[in-house]
Amino acid sequence: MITTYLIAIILAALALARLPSGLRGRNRLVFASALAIALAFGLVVPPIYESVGSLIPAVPNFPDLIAKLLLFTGLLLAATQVARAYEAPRAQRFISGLPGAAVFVAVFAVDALIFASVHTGARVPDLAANLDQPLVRLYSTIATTYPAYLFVLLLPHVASGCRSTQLTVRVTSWLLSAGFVLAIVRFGLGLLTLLAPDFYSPGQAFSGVAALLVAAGLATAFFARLSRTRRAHNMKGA
Amino acid sequence: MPEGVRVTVSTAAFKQWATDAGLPVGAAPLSRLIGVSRTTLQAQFLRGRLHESIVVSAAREVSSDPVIVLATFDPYEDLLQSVMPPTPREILSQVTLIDAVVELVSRSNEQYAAALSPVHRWEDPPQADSIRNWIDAVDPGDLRRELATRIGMAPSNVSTAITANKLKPHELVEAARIAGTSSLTGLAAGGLLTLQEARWPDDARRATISALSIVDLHELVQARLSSSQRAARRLVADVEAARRIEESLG
Repeated sequence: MITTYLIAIILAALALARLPSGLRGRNRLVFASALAIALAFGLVVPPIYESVGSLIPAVPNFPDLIAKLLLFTGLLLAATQVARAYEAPRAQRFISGLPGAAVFVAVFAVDALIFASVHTGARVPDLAANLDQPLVRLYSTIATTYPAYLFVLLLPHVASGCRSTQLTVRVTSWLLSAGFVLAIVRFGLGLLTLLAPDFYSPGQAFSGVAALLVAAGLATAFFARLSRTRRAHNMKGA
Repeated sequence: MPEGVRVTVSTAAFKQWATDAGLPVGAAPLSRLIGVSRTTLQAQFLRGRLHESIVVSAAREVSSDPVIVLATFDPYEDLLQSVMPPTPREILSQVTLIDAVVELVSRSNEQYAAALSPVHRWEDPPQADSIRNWIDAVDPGDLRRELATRIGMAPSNVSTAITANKLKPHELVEAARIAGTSSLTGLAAGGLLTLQEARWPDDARRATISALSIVDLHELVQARLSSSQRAARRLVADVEAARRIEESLG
């Protein structure tokens, strides 16, 4: 519970840190991505989940589907920028080109269809109160395929940055790579959850840590740019 | 060396030696004395294995010969058995671009030689390419592959470690064993020992480079220039990539 709050707060803080430059029009994609992911994690914080859920009582747990759509959108935007940053045009095509859009739509549509087929009364994010139902476990696992798909495409490019001579690139690349690896492992745990629900809780912990690592990687690049800009201003002033 | 063998120095053995040598064995006083971070030393004590540089620093602190001290610990017991003078190729492997250019310019004009001689300082290893240059100098043909087999690493990882100047002391010793040369020069190339501690004759580099023919000297300058050019290109590419990453994600 505390972890959910903590992750949501950290992601929101990192998104807000980008607000001034985002409003000035700089890197709107990354800002929108940070905002979408922070909202997705914020939405599954219990009181917010309850309040939003009470808006449409006839469709229990609809905030979870919204959270997943926000998360997928945020990841799509972030992954597109990461592919650009690391000069990976082929990966970019499979992320935000036609094939990428097809995967995005297909994964979300399948998840939405499963969501519509599941009958659950309890209002719990990821429908986790009903993990005894195979369809619920499938719903949760399908949601982990999209991040894993994106990160498998990006990992080789980002990992190459770990050997850079530039410290900020090394730090950014290590954090992103670690987050990507954890998200891929999370997908593996998701597959295991299909067989045994006990794998669900460790899987969720992996998701949270992966999100924080990726956000920290993006934040490193953000603060490195701020620091470089500030240095350049100081040099001009001197 | 078979895979899985512990290749750093045992803390228990080191503490015994340190007690005999009159050194403190607590992490805090020892770290202050030899100038390393206390947390680093404490972590190594906890693991039960010490990095070789700690042993060398401690030996220097009590004015002991680091090679003799290192040879008292497993797996460096045969370190003194392989001691031999460095070959001219090994000596030249530790000559930098600046050293070679200074020699070239000095040979071209006596006035330049007189001007450069008082200001020129030989750059001691570790240099940016000191390990790779040493490996290239002693490689009998298949050193990288053989080293990979002996230390249980993928050949590509060994090549990457050599290029990045990051072979560990036991790997340098193993490379020297394969090449049939003195391990001490390898350890000096890696920065663990000074050239003096590695039993290099005084002025070895000056004597060896002075003996080079003008053609060989040009080849040496060219080789060092190529390495320097590669490093400069990589740096420029990395700076551009850093800027692109910061601009795209920042």
